Amino acid sequence: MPNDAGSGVYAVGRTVSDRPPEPESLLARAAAGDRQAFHEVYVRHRNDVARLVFRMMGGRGDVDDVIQEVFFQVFRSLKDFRGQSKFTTWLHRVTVNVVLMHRRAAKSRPVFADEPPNEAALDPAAVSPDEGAARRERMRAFARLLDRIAEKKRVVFVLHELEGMAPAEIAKVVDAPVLTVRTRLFYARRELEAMLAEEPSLAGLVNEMKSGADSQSEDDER
Amino acid sequence: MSGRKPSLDELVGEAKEDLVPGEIDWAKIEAELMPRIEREAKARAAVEAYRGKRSRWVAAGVAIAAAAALPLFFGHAPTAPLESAEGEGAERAASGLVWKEGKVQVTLTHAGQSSEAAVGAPIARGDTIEAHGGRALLERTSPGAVAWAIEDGAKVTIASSRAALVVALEKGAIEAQVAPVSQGEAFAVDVSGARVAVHGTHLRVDNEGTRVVVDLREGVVSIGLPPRSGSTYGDLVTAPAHVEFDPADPHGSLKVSHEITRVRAAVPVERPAPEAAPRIAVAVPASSAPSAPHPSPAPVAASPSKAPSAVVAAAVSPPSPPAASPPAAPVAPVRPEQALTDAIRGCARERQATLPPGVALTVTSRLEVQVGEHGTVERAQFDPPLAPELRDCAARAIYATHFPASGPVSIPIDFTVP
Repeated sequence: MPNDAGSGVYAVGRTVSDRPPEPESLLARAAAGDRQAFHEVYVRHRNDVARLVFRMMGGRGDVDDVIQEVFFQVFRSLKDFRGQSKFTTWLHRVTVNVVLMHRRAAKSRPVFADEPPNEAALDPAAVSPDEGAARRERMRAFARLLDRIAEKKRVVFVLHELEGMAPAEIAKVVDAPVLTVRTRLFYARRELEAMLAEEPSLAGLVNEMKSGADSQSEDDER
Repeated sequence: MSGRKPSLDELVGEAKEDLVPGEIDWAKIEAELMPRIEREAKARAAVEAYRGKRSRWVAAGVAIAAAAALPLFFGHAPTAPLESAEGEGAERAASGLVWKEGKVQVTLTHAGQSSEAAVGAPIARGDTIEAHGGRALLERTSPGAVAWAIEDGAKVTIASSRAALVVALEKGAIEAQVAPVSQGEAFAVDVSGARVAVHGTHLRVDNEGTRVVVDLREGVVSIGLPPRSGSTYGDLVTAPAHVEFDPADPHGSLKVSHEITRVRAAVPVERPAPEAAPRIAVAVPASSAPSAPHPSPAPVAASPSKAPSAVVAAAVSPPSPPAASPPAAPVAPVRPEQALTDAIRGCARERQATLPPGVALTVTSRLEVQVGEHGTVERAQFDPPLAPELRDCAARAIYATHFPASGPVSIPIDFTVP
């Protein structure tokens, strides 16, 4: 899938860390209040921010509002960015903080039980309608599971497993020792695995997925 | 990772591909984000320009003063700065959370860590407080007495906790009752680069984005840009007043109405007494605490020293007696209608005292009150109207009164003060 910064289409499996580093002059100009430079920073990073926000929020809620808030906070705080870490690490930190604040605030607001999630971007050409529906259902269930684990564990799980960040970099984002990050990751995985078995609908889907994978491997062996 | 169960790994593998947002409306985000940024940049530039201008004047003043004083004070240590360094008060508790309304969720962010704040939580400089689902009441007892309320949906950050408590209102509204201080400012609210500085008053400040709305029930506020030090230089507004301005240009956009009916009714910012929530003793280092005790914040009844006592009693629950004191005799509750009639009678007595001896004052009118859902008075009108000084005196009591139910209330007023 192409990664067109302006199209709302997302690169699959690519992490923020893969990006070429930000030109220092661009950040310096943006920090000094240059709107054009800031806009360029925004365009370069908005898809990465959107993806992280979406994953952190479990695919539901006011993703657009949170993205806007992230970049507003970036504009406000960019002058304080000293370049001691990578810009993307700093941006992740801002994003994570904004999402956590938003989630905490949202807890006290009424939530509609069947609030439709922001639909995941499945490539319709790549999967059959049935398969697409099943995958979407699996993603919804997976997002629900992610939602159930503790906030700190969820953050490191999303950053490591989905965003592909190394524990050392996550440690800078969450301001915790690397060992703590690894521990949270371990427990996040363990809890998710335990929950997988308890979630009836997902267990069924996982079994289907496994049986599908088994039959595929049998075919391969033949 | 070879020991992982395949199911989770496979789900993660799918999530990497599928758990991505669909179409994002970037145009909409940009259309809202960029104007916000423009406003922020404009406000920041205005503050910087003001500070630069001010510091040049201060520098010039200091230079002139230094030149004049040099022959007299040569060799002496420089005089102390006007205000103590921020560092001195940095660890001082700025306020304490004293009451939470209903199921309000109060989120306190301290040193980057957010948590639900319990009653009794100290709030320090740099902390951010958010209220959702109701109001949260806070108090600062020393230095300076401030009782303030964060309304539902509001977000504030404690910008300074030196002599004056300064809060940055990021969104929503706060209401405060501030005991007057003999010198300087007791409380200030920063909104998008602009400052509403308070000398002692009851006010409500609402950050509506491009517009700031201030409802001033009593006292005086100064509206301008935050100074680097000292008092806020800006437009002075006296109560009662309904003020609106653009934080990017407070002076140029200032609109003031002194019409009492336009001023929003005051809402109590003191915690209700019956629940007897533990009073929060705000820790202040002995070195920085003033020698004389500061008065507690006055109850919300506008200018309680002036408002008739019956009304104050009806509007604000009486404080709980100390445990050691004997139980007080039961007092029959005063109905709000009766309390208001008594209050207006009290105002008439004050007015009558200014008249020549032997002149009686007769008041015949009808007070039409619209009570809001929280029992607070939203609108009030005398029909026929009263004399302005009598009306203003009565207004302080009316807007501080709480009714048990919402809806219209009509109170006949008919008495003579001999």
